[in-house]
Amino acid sequence: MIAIEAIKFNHDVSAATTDGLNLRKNATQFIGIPEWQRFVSVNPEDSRAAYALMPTKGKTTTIEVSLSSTDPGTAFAEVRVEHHVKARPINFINGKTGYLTFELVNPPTSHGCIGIWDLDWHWEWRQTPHHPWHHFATTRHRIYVVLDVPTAPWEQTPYSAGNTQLPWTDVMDFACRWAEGATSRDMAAALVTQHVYALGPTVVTYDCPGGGSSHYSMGNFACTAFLDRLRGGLGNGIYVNCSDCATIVSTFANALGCDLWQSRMGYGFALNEILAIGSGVWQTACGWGGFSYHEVAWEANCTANDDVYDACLRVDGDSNPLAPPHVPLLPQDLRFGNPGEMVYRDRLATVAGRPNCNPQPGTRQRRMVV
Amino acid sequence: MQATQRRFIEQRFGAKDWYGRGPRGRRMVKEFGFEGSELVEWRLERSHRDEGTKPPSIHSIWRHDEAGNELLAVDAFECASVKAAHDQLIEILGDLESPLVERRTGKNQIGDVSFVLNDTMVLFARANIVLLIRNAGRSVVKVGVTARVFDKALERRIESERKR
Repeated sequence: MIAIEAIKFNHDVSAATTDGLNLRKNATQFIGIPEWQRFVSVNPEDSRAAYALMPTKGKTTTIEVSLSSTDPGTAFAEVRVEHHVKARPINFINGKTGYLTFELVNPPTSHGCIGIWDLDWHWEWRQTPHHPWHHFATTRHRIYVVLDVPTAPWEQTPYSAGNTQLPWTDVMDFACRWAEGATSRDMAAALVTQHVYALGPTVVTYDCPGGGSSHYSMGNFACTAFLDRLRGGLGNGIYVNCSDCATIVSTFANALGCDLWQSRMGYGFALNEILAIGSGVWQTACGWGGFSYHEVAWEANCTANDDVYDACLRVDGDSNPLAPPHVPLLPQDLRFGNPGEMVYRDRLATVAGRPNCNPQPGTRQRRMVV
Repeated sequence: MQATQRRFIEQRFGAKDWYGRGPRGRRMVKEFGFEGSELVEWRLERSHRDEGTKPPSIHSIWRHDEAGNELLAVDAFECASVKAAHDQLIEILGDLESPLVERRTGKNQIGDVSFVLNDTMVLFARANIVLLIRNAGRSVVKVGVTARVFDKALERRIESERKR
Protein backbone atom coordinates (compact mmCIF):
# COMPACT_ATOMS: atom_id res chain seq x y z
CA MET A 1 0.00 0.00 0.00
CA ILE A 2 1.31 3.46 -0.95
CA ALA A 3 0.59 6.39 1.34
CA ILE A 4 1.30 10.09 1.52
CA GLU A 5 3.20 10.72 4.75
CA ALA A 6 3.64 14.50 4.60
CA ILE A 7 3.42 17.48 2.27
CA LYS A 8 5.45 20.69 2.46
CA PHE A 9 3.96 23.71 0.69
CA ASN A 10 6.42 26.15 2.22
CA HIS A 11 9.57 24.15 1.59
CA ASP A 12 11.88 27.15 1.21
CA VAL A 13 11.34 29.53 4.12
CA SER A 14 13.85 31.99 2.69
CA ALA A 15 11.79 32.75 -0.43
CA ALA A 16 8.25 32.73 -1.80
CA THR A 17 9.03 32.43 -5.52
CA THR A 18 8.27 28.75 -6.06
CA ASP A 19 6.54 27.85 -2.82
CA GLY A 20 4.34 29.13 -0.04
CA LEU A 21 4.69 32.03 2.40
CA ASN A 22 5.83 31.76 6.00
CA LEU A 23 2.65 31.78 8.07
CA ARG A 24 1.11 31.44 11.48
CA LYS A 25 -2.56 30.97 12.36
CA ASN A 26 -2.89 33.75 14.93
CA ALA A 27 -1.05 35.30 17.86
CA THR A 28 -0.63 32.00 19.67
CA GLN A 29 -0.61 29.28 16.99
CA PHE A 30 2.29 28.73 14.62
CA ILE A 31 1.96 26.88 11.30
CA GLY A 32 4.82 24.44 11.09
CA ILE A 33 6.20 22.49 8.16
CA PRO A 34 5.12 20.05 6.79
CA GLU A 35 1.70 21.65 6.61
CA TRP A 36 0.00 18.30 5.88
CA GLN A 37 0.75 15.18 7.91
CA ARG A 38 -0.76 11.73 7.70
CA PHE A 39 -3.14 10.93 10.59
CA VAL A 40 -2.97 14.57 11.71
CA SER A 41 -4.45 16.60 8.85
CA VAL A 42 -8.06 15.76 7.99
CA ASN A 43 -9.94 18.85 6.88
CA PRO A 44 -8.76 21.68 4.61
CA GLU A 45 -8.22 23.99 7.58
CA ASP A 46 -5.75 21.45 9.00
CA SER A 47 -3.41 22.10 6.06
CA ARG A 48 -3.04 25.79 5.21
CA ALA A 49 -0.71 27.41 2.74
CA ALA A 50 -0.53 30.80 1.07
CA TYR A 51 1.00 31.92 -2.21
CA ALA A 52 1.85 35.40 -3.42
CA LEU A 53 1.07 36.22 -7.06
CA MET A 54 3.89 38.65 -7.80
CA PRO A 55 6.95 36.61 -6.80
CA THR A 56 5.56 33.37 -8.25
CA LYS A 57 4.61 34.90 -11.59
CA GLY A 58 6.11 32.93 -14.50
CA LYS A 59 7.69 30.40 -12.16
CA THR A 60 6.81 26.79 -11.52
CA THR A 61 5.25 26.24 -8.12
CA THR A 62 6.45 23.15 -6.34
CA ILE A 63 5.64 21.13 -3.25
CA GLU A 64 7.63 18.51 -1.44
CA VAL A 65 5.97 15.21 -0.70
CA SER A 66 7.07 12.27 1.41
CA LEU A 67 5.56 8.88 0.52
CA SER A 68 5.72 5.40 1.97
CA SER A 69 4.96 1.91 0.75
CA THR A 70 4.24 -1.22 2.74
CA ASP A 71 4.57 -3.39 -0.38
CA PRO A 72 8.14 -4.65 -0.67
CA GLY A 73 7.46 -5.46 -4.33
CA THR A 74 6.86 -1.80 -5.17
CA ALA A 75 10.21 -0.12 -5.61
CA PHE A 76 9.29 2.21 -8.43
CA ALA A 77 6.03 3.94 -9.27
CA GLU A 78 4.61 7.06 -10.84
CA VAL A 79 2.45 9.41 -8.73
CA ARG A 80 0.18 12.35 -9.55
CA VAL A 81 -2.94 14.32 -8.66
CA GLU A 82 -4.84 14.77 -11.89
CA HIS A 83 -5.24 18.50 -12.74
CA HIS A 84 -3.25 19.53 -9.65
CA VAL A 85 0.09 17.76 -9.23
CA LYS A 86 2.22 16.77 -12.21
CA ALA A 87 3.06 13.06 -12.44
CA ARG A 88 6.61 12.04 -11.62
CA PRO A 89 8.44 8.78 -10.96
CA ILE A 90 9.23 7.90 -7.38
CA ASN A 91 11.60 5.38 -5.83
CA PHE A 92 11.09 3.67 -2.46
CA ILE A 93 14.10 2.77 -0.35
CA ASN A 94 13.16 0.70 2.67
CA GLY A 95 9.54 1.67 1.99
CA LYS A 96 10.18 5.43 2.06
CA THR A 97 10.90 8.10 -0.52
CA GLY A 98 12.06 10.97 1.63
CA TYR A 99 10.86 14.38 0.46
CA LEU A 100 10.45 14.60 -3.32
CA THR A 101 9.72 17.73 -5.32
CA PHE A 102 6.48 17.76 -7.31
CA GLU A 103 5.35 20.48 -9.71
CA LEU A 104 1.85 21.92 -9.33
CA VAL A 105 -0.40 22.00 -12.39
CA ASN A 106 -2.61 25.09 -12.60
CA PRO A 107 -1.95 26.10 -9.00
CA PRO A 108 -4.41 28.50 -7.33
CA THR A 109 -2.14 31.37 -8.37
CA SER A 110 -3.08 30.61 -11.99
CA HIS A 111 -6.42 32.37 -11.32
CA GLY A 112 -4.37 35.56 -11.08
CA CYS A 113 -6.43 37.02 -8.27
CA ILE A 114 -6.92 37.03 -4.51
CA GLY A 115 -8.94 34.17 -3.10
CA ILE A 116 -9.21 31.14 -0.88
CA TRP A 117 -9.46 27.68 -2.35
CA ASP A 118 -10.25 24.48 -0.48
CA LEU A 119 -8.71 21.67 -2.48
CA ASP A 120 -9.31 17.92 -2.40
CA TRP A 121 -6.36 16.20 -3.95
CA HIS A 122 -7.01 12.66 -5.11
CA TRP A 123 -3.60 11.00 -5.33
CA GLU A 124 -3.05 8.26 -7.91
CA TRP A 125 -0.20 5.90 -8.68
CA ARG A 126 0.73 3.47 -11.42
CA GLN A 127 3.58 1.04 -11.80
CA THR A 128 4.64 2.08 -15.31
CA PRO A 129 3.25 4.36 -18.02
CA HIS A 130 1.57 1.29 -19.51
CA HIS A 131 -0.48 0.60 -16.38
CA PRO A 132 -3.72 2.31 -15.38
CA TRP A 133 -3.81 4.89 -12.57
CA HIS A 134 -5.05 3.78 -9.14
CA HIS A 135 -6.38 6.10 -6.44
CA PHE A 136 -4.55 5.64 -3.14
CA ALA A 137 -5.08 8.74 -0.98
CA THR A 138 -6.99 11.98 -0.65
CA THR A 139 -5.48 15.05 1.01
CA ARG A 140 -7.33 18.29 1.72
CA HIS A 141 -5.81 21.76 1.82
CA ARG A 142 -6.80 25.41 2.26
CA ILE A 143 -4.86 27.62 -0.11
CA TYR A 144 -4.78 31.40 0.17
CA VAL A 145 -3.66 33.53 -2.74
CA VAL A 146 -2.53 37.09 -2.09
CA LEU A 147 -1.11 39.71 -4.44
CA ASP A 148 2.37 39.98 -3.03
CA VAL A 149 4.43 39.11 0.01
CA PRO A 150 2.61 40.73 2.96
CA THR A 151 4.07 44.04 4.07
CA ALA A 152 4.58 45.42 7.58
CA PRO A 153 3.49 44.92 10.23
CA TRP A 154 3.61 41.46 8.73
CA GLU A 155 7.04 39.86 8.47
CA GLN A 156 8.54 36.83 6.77
CA THR A 157 11.60 36.62 8.98
CA PRO A 158 12.52 35.22 11.34
CA TYR A 159 10.44 32.16 10.56
CA SER A 160 9.97 30.95 14.11
CA ALA A 161 7.12 30.20 16.48
CA GLY A 162 8.14 33.24 18.50
CA ASN A 163 7.57 35.68 15.65
CA THR A 164 3.98 36.83 16.13
CA GLN A 165 4.20 39.15 13.10
CA LEU A 166 4.25 36.34 10.55
CA PRO A 167 1.04 36.69 8.48
CA TRP A 168 -1.96 35.24 10.31
CA THR A 169 -4.25 32.93 8.36
CA ASP A 170 -7.03 34.03 10.75
CA VAL A 171 -6.64 37.49 9.17
CA MET A 172 -6.37 36.05 5.65
CA ASP A 173 -9.63 34.15 6.23
CA PHE A 174 -11.38 37.53 6.25
CA ALA A 175 -9.08 39.62 4.07
CA CYS A 176 -8.99 37.14 1.17
CA ARG A 177 -12.78 36.82 1.18
CA TRP A 178 -13.30 40.57 1.41
CA ALA A 179 -10.92 41.17 -1.51
CA GLU A 180 -11.80 38.04 -3.45
CA GLY A 181 -11.11 38.45 -7.16
CA ALA A 182 -8.93 41.54 -6.76
CA THR A 183 -6.04 41.72 -9.20
CA SER A 184 -4.37 44.93 -8.03
CA ARG A 185 -3.36 46.55 -4.77
CA ASP A 186 -5.76 49.46 -5.24
CA MET A 187 -8.64 47.09 -5.91
CA ALA A 188 -7.80 44.92 -2.91
CA ALA A 189 -7.47 47.90 -0.55
CA ALA A 190 -10.75 49.35 -1.83
CA LEU A 191 -12.60 46.08 -1.27
CA VAL A 192 -11.18 45.77 2.25
CA THR A 193 -12.26 49.36 2.96
CA GLN A 194 -15.79 48.65 1.71
CA HIS A 195 -16.11 45.53 3.84
CA VAL A 196 -14.81 47.20 6.99
CA TYR A 197 -17.25 50.10 6.58
CA ALA A 198 -20.05 47.58 5.99
CA LEU A 199 -19.38 46.03 9.42
CA GLY A 200 -21.41 48.92 10.84
CA PRO A 201 -23.73 49.05 12.66
CA THR A 202 -24.00 45.33 13.45
CA VAL A 203 -20.41 44.49 14.30
CA VAL A 204 -18.90 47.91 15.00
CA THR A 205 -20.07 51.49 15.18
CA TYR A 206 -18.42 54.86 15.65
CA ASP A 207 -17.51 55.67 19.26
CA CYS A 208 -19.73 58.64 20.01
CA PRO A 209 -20.07 57.91 23.77
CA GLY A 210 -16.31 57.57 24.22
CA GLY A 211 -15.35 60.71 22.33
CA GLY A 212 -14.09 58.79 19.33
CA SER A 213 -11.44 56.88 21.25
CA SER A 214 -9.35 53.97 20.06
CA HIS A 215 -10.61 50.59 21.26
CA TYR A 216 -8.49 48.37 19.02
CA SER A 217 -5.46 50.48 18.16
CA MET A 218 -4.23 52.12 21.34
CA GLY A 219 -0.54 51.33 21.00
CA ASN A 220 -0.62 48.01 19.17
CA PHE A 221 -3.44 46.62 17.02
CA ALA A 222 -5.62 44.39 19.21
CA CYS A 223 -6.13 42.11 16.22
CA THR A 224 -7.03 39.06 18.32
CA ALA A 225 -9.83 41.02 19.97
CA PHE A 226 -11.01 42.37 16.62
CA LEU A 227 -11.09 38.87 15.10
CA ASP A 228 -13.13 37.76 18.12
CA ARG A 229 -15.54 40.61 17.38
CA LEU A 230 -15.74 39.59 13.70
CA ARG A 231 -16.67 36.05 14.76
CA GLY A 232 -19.50 37.25 16.99
CA GLY A 233 -17.62 37.55 20.30
CA LEU A 234 -17.36 40.62 22.51
CA GLY A 235 -13.87 41.57 21.41
CA ASN A 236 -13.06 44.98 22.85
CA GLY A 237 -16.66 46.02 22.33
CA ILE A 238 -18.71 47.54 19.56
CA TYR A 239 -17.06 50.94 19.30
CA VAL A 240 -14.32 52.01 16.93
CA ASN A 241 -12.72 55.28 15.95
CA CYS A 242 -10.75 56.44 12.93
CA SER A 243 -7.44 55.00 14.17
CA ASP A 244 -9.09 51.62 14.62
CA CYS A 245 -10.52 51.71 11.09
CA ALA A 246 -7.23 52.88 9.57
CA THR A 247 -5.39 50.12 11.41
CA ILE A 248 -7.85 47.42 10.43
CA VAL A 249 -7.88 48.43 6.76
CA SER A 250 -4.13 48.79 6.40
CA THR A 251 -3.27 45.64 8.37
CA PHE A 252 -5.78 43.45 6.56
CA ALA A 253 -4.89 44.93 3.16
CA ASN A 254 -1.16 44.57 3.83
CA ALA A 255 -1.72 40.89 4.57
CA LEU A 256 -2.78 40.72 0.92
CA GLY A 257 0.38 42.43 -0.28
CA CYS A 258 -0.87 46.01 -0.28
CA ASP A 259 1.41 48.71 1.07
CA LEU A 260 -0.66 51.03 3.26
CA TRP A 261 0.16 53.07 6.35
CA GLN A 262 -1.80 54.47 9.25
CA SER A 263 -1.32 58.21 9.27
CA ARG A 264 -3.00 61.27 10.76
CA MET A 265 -4.26 64.64 9.65
CA GLY A 266 -4.96 67.66 11.82
CA TYR A 267 -5.11 69.20 14.20
CA GLY A 268 -8.51 70.57 15.21
CA PHE A 269 -10.69 71.15 12.18
CA ALA A 270 -14.39 71.65 11.45
CA LEU A 271 -16.21 68.92 9.55
CA ASN A 272 -18.72 68.77 6.76
CA GLU A 273 -21.62 66.43 7.40
CA ILE A 274 -20.53 62.81 7.09
CA LEU A 275 -21.91 59.30 7.56
CA ALA A 276 -19.80 57.79 10.31
CA ILE A 277 -19.38 54.01 10.34
CA GLY A 278 -22.54 52.44 11.74
CA SER A 279 -24.56 55.64 11.41
CA GLY A 280 -27.40 56.35 8.98
CA VAL A 281 -27.53 60.06 9.82
CA TRP A 282 -25.67 62.76 7.93
CA GLN A 283 -24.08 64.93 10.58
CA THR A 284 -20.72 66.20 11.71
CA ALA A 285 -19.28 63.26 13.66
CA CYS A 286 -21.68 62.61 16.58
CA GLY A 287 -22.77 66.23 16.20
CA TRP A 288 -19.43 67.43 17.57
CA GLY A 289 -18.76 69.88 14.77
CA GLY A 290 -15.21 68.76 14.14
CA PHE A 291 -12.37 66.39 14.76
CA SER A 292 -9.42 66.94 17.05
CA TYR A 293 -7.53 64.70 14.62
CA HIS A 294 -8.38 62.08 12.05
CA GLU A 295 -6.51 58.99 10.87
CA VAL A 296 -6.81 56.95 7.68
CA ALA A 297 -5.12 54.18 5.77
CA TRP A 298 -2.80 56.05 3.45
CA GLU A 299 -0.52 55.21 0.54
CA ALA A 300 3.16 55.96 0.03
CA ASN A 301 4.42 59.04 1.92
CA CYS A 302 1.03 59.96 3.40
CA THR A 303 1.11 63.47 1.90
CA ALA A 304 -1.51 65.56 0.12
CA ASN A 305 -0.51 63.89 -3.14
CA ASP A 306 -1.11 60.37 -1.87
CA ASP A 307 -4.33 58.37 -1.85
CA VAL A 308 -6.34 57.51 1.24
CA TYR A 309 -8.71 54.71 2.23
CA ASP A 310 -11.12 55.73 4.97
CA ALA A 311 -13.41 52.99 6.31
CA CYS A 312 -14.51 55.21 9.21
CA LEU A 313 -16.85 57.46 7.28
CA ARG A 314 -18.52 58.36 4.02
CA VAL A 315 -18.21 61.90 2.74
CA ASP A 316 -20.47 63.85 0.41
CA GLY A 317 -19.35 62.98 -3.10
CA ASP A 318 -21.33 65.57 -5.04
CA SER A 319 -20.21 68.94 -6.37
CA ASN A 320 -21.01 70.69 -3.08
CA PRO A 321 -19.91 68.71 -0.02
CA LEU A 322 -20.68 71.69 2.22
CA ALA A 323 -24.44 71.29 2.08
CA PRO A 324 -27.27 68.84 1.37
CA PRO A 325 -28.24 66.98 -0.69
CA HIS A 326 -25.55 64.42 0.07
CA VAL A 327 -24.26 61.70 -2.22
CA PRO A 328 -22.44 59.12 -0.08
CA LEU A 329 -18.87 58.46 -1.15
CA LEU A 330 -16.63 56.01 0.66
CA PRO A 331 -13.09 57.39 0.31
CA GLN A 332 -11.09 54.65 -1.37
CA ASP A 333 -8.03 55.29 -3.50
CA LEU A 334 -8.94 58.98 -3.21
CA ARG A 335 -6.16 61.56 -3.25
CA PHE A 336 -5.95 63.64 -0.07
CA GLY A 337 -5.49 66.82 -2.06
CA ASN A 338 -5.10 70.49 -1.31
CA PRO A 339 -7.82 73.03 -0.45
CA GLY A 340 -9.95 73.79 -3.48
CA GLU A 341 -9.15 70.57 -5.35
CA MET A 342 -12.43 68.96 -4.25
CA VAL A 343 -10.88 65.63 -3.32
CA TYR A 344 -10.64 64.02 0.15
CA ARG A 345 -9.64 67.04 2.25
CA ASP A 346 -12.35 69.32 0.82
CA ARG A 347 -15.02 66.67 1.20
CA LEU A 348 -14.13 66.01 4.83
CA ALA A 349 -13.44 69.50 6.20
CA THR A 350 -15.32 72.77 5.94
CA VAL A 351 -13.76 75.70 4.11
CA ALA A 352 -12.64 77.12 7.46
CA GLY A 353 -11.46 73.72 8.65
CA ARG A 354 -9.32 72.81 5.65
CA PRO A 355 -6.22 74.83 6.64
CA ASN A 356 -6.08 72.84 9.91
CA CYS A 357 -6.72 69.52 8.21
CA ASN A 358 -3.15 68.90 7.09
CA PRO A 359 -1.40 65.62 6.42
CA GLN A 360 0.89 64.72 9.30
CA PRO A 361 3.26 62.24 7.67
CA GLY A 362 5.37 62.25 10.82
CA THR A 363 2.65 60.09 12.40
CA ARG A 364 2.96 57.43 9.68
CA GLN A 365 3.09 53.99 11.28
CA ARG A 366 2.06 50.36 11.08
CA ARG A 367 0.94 49.10 14.47
CA MET A 368 2.11 45.68 15.56
CA VAL A 369 -0.54 42.97 15.70
CA VAL A 370 -1.26 41.41 19.07
CA MET B 1 3.30 61.22 20.01
CA GLN B 2 4.26 63.63 17.26
CA ALA B 3 5.51 66.97 18.66
CA THR B 4 2.95 69.01 16.68
CA GLN B 5 0.06 67.02 18.06
CA ARG B 6 1.45 67.11 21.58
CA ARG B 7 1.64 70.90 21.46
CA PHE B 8 -1.93 70.98 20.19
CA ILE B 9 -3.13 68.71 23.01
CA GLU B 10 -1.18 70.56 25.72
CA GLN B 11 -2.62 73.85 24.58
CA ARG B 12 -6.17 72.60 24.15
CA PHE B 13 -6.32 71.01 27.59
CA GLY B 14 -4.30 73.65 29.42
CA ALA B 15 -1.57 71.21 30.42
CA LYS B 16 0.50 73.92 32.09
CA ASP B 17 -2.14 74.02 34.83
CA TRP B 18 -1.86 70.36 35.73
CA TYR B 19 1.05 68.62 34.02
CA GLY B 20 3.44 67.15 36.58
CA ARG B 21 1.45 68.47 39.50
CA GLY B 22 0.06 66.29 42.25
CA PRO B 23 -0.31 65.98 45.99
CA ARG B 24 2.96 65.80 47.87
CA GLY B 25 4.39 62.63 49.38
CA ARG B 26 5.19 59.26 48.00
CA ARG B 27 2.03 58.11 46.31
CA MET B 28 2.70 55.16 44.08
CA VAL B 29 0.74 52.07 43.22
CA LYS B 30 2.57 49.01 41.96
CA GLU B 31 1.25 45.85 40.37
CA PHE B 32 -2.16 47.37 39.85
CA GLY B 33 -4.88 45.00 38.75
CA PHE B 34 -8.62 44.49 38.79
CA GLU B 35 -10.08 42.05 41.29
CA GLY B 36 -13.59 41.87 39.87
CA SER B 37 -15.26 42.96 43.09
CA GLU B 38 -14.81 46.68 42.50
CA LEU B 39 -18.13 47.19 40.73
CA VAL B 40 -21.40 45.95 42.21
CA GLU B 41 -23.66 44.28 39.64
CA TRP B 42 -20.89 44.19 37.05
CA ARG B 43 -18.95 41.06 36.18
CA LEU B 44 -15.32 41.24 35.20
CA GLU B 45 -15.50 39.52 31.84
CA ARG B 46 -11.83 39.73 30.95
CA SER B 47 -8.71 41.35 32.31
CA HIS B 48 -5.30 41.24 30.70
CA ARG B 49 -2.11 42.85 31.92
CA ASP B 50 0.32 43.69 29.14
CA GLU B 51 3.88 44.17 30.33
CA GLY B 52 5.03 44.71 26.76
CA THR B 53 3.53 48.18 26.52
CA LYS B 54 5.10 51.33 27.90
CA PRO B 55 3.75 51.91 30.47
CA PRO B 56 2.41 48.47 31.42
CA SER B 57 -1.33 48.40 30.79
CA ILE B 58 -4.30 46.43 32.06
CA HIS B 59 -7.25 46.08 29.69
CA SER B 60 -10.53 44.89 31.11
CA ILE B 61 -14.08 44.36 29.91
CA TRP B 62 -16.97 44.44 32.40
CA ARG B 63 -20.41 43.04 31.63
CA HIS B 64 -23.68 44.16 33.22
CA ASP B 65 -26.25 42.07 31.38
CA GLU B 66 -26.14 38.58 29.95
CA ALA B 67 -26.77 39.78 26.41
CA GLY B 68 -23.66 41.91 26.56
CA ASN B 69 -25.46 45.09 25.56
CA GLU B 70 -24.11 46.93 28.60
CA LEU B 71 -20.34 46.66 28.60
CA LEU B 72 -17.60 48.81 30.02
CA ALA B 73 -14.01 48.94 28.85
CA VAL B 74 -11.79 49.94 31.74
CA ASP B 75 -8.13 50.39 30.86
CA ALA B 76 -5.47 51.11 33.45
CA PHE B 77 -1.92 52.30 32.86
CA GLU B 78 0.67 51.81 35.57
CA CYS B 79 3.19 54.61 35.11
CA ALA B 80 6.55 55.08 36.75
CA SER B 81 5.73 58.48 38.23
CA VAL B 82 3.06 61.17 38.46
CA LYS B 83 4.72 62.98 35.58
CA ALA B 84 4.74 59.81 33.49
CA ALA B 85 1.06 59.37 34.28
CA HIS B 86 0.37 62.85 32.94
CA ASP B 87 2.36 62.03 29.80
CA GLN B 88 0.08 59.04 29.42
CA LEU B 89 -2.97 61.29 29.84
CA ILE B 90 -1.69 63.45 26.97
CA GLU B 91 -1.09 60.33 24.91
CA ILE B 92 -4.66 59.14 25.42
CA LEU B 93 -6.13 62.60 24.86
CA GLY B 94 -4.32 62.51 21.52
CA ASP B 95 -6.31 59.41 20.58
CA LEU B 96 -9.69 61.09 21.16
CA GLU B 97 -11.21 62.52 18.00
CA SER B 98 -13.89 64.54 19.73
CA PRO B 99 -13.21 68.23 20.25
CA LEU B 100 -15.74 68.27 23.09
CA VAL B 101 -13.75 66.33 25.66
CA GLU B 102 -13.12 68.70 28.58
CA ARG B 103 -11.14 68.84 31.75
CA ARG B 104 -13.22 68.47 34.91
CA THR B 105 -12.19 70.62 37.86
CA GLY B 106 -13.55 71.62 41.24
CA LYS B 107 -15.58 69.36 43.48
CA ASN B 108 -16.60 67.15 40.56
CA GLN B 109 -13.02 66.31 39.74
CA ILE B 110 -12.07 62.67 39.80
CA GLY B 111 -8.50 61.67 40.68
CA ASP B 112 -5.74 64.29 40.52
CA VAL B 113 -6.63 65.29 36.94
CA SER B 114 -9.67 64.20 34.97
CA PHE B 115 -11.23 64.62 31.54
CA VAL B 116 -14.76 63.72 30.54
CA LEU B 117 -17.19 63.64 27.68
CA ASN B 118 -20.71 64.10 29.03
CA ASP B 119 -21.05 61.24 31.50
CA THR B 120 -20.13 58.51 29.04
CA MET B 121 -16.32 58.64 29.12
CA VAL B 122 -13.95 59.46 31.97
CA LEU B 123 -10.17 59.64 31.81
CA PHE B 124 -8.29 60.41 34.99
CA ALA B 125 -4.96 60.10 36.73
CA ARG B 126 -4.56 59.35 40.41
CA ALA B 127 -0.92 59.34 41.49
CA ASN B 128 0.94 57.16 38.96
CA ILE B 129 -2.17 55.34 37.70
CA VAL B 130 -4.22 56.41 34.68
CA LEU B 131 -7.71 55.00 34.20
CA LEU B 132 -9.81 55.24 31.06
CA ILE B 133 -13.45 54.21 31.49
CA ARG B 134 -15.59 53.91 28.40
CA ASN B 135 -18.68 52.24 27.09
CA ALA B 136 -18.09 49.14 24.99
CA GLY B 137 -21.68 47.93 24.55
CA ARG B 138 -24.57 48.99 22.37
CA SER B 139 -26.57 50.33 25.35
CA VAL B 140 -24.80 53.40 26.63
CA VAL B 141 -24.46 53.73 30.41
CA LYS B 142 -23.22 56.58 32.56
CA VAL B 143 -19.69 56.10 33.82
CA GLY B 144 -19.19 58.92 36.32
CA VAL B 145 -20.24 56.89 39.36
CA THR B 146 -18.13 53.95 38.17
CA ALA B 147 -15.11 56.24 37.82
CA ARG B 148 -15.57 57.44 41.40
CA VAL B 149 -15.74 53.86 42.65
CA PHE B 150 -12.42 53.06 40.98
CA ASP B 151 -10.94 56.33 42.24
CA LYS B 152 -11.96 55.58 45.84
CA ALA B 153 -10.41 52.13 45.53
CA LEU B 154 -7.22 53.71 44.25
CA GLU B 155 -7.17 56.19 47.12
CA ARG B 156 -7.50 53.35 49.62
CA ARG B 157 -4.73 51.43 47.92
CA ILE B 158 -2.42 54.43 47.91
CA GLU B 159 -3.14 55.07 51.59
CA SER B 160 -2.46 51.48 52.57
CA GLU B 161 0.80 51.41 50.61
CA ARG B 162 1.86 54.71 52.15
CA LYS B 163 1.40 53.27 55.67
CA ARG B 164 3.63 50.29 54.98
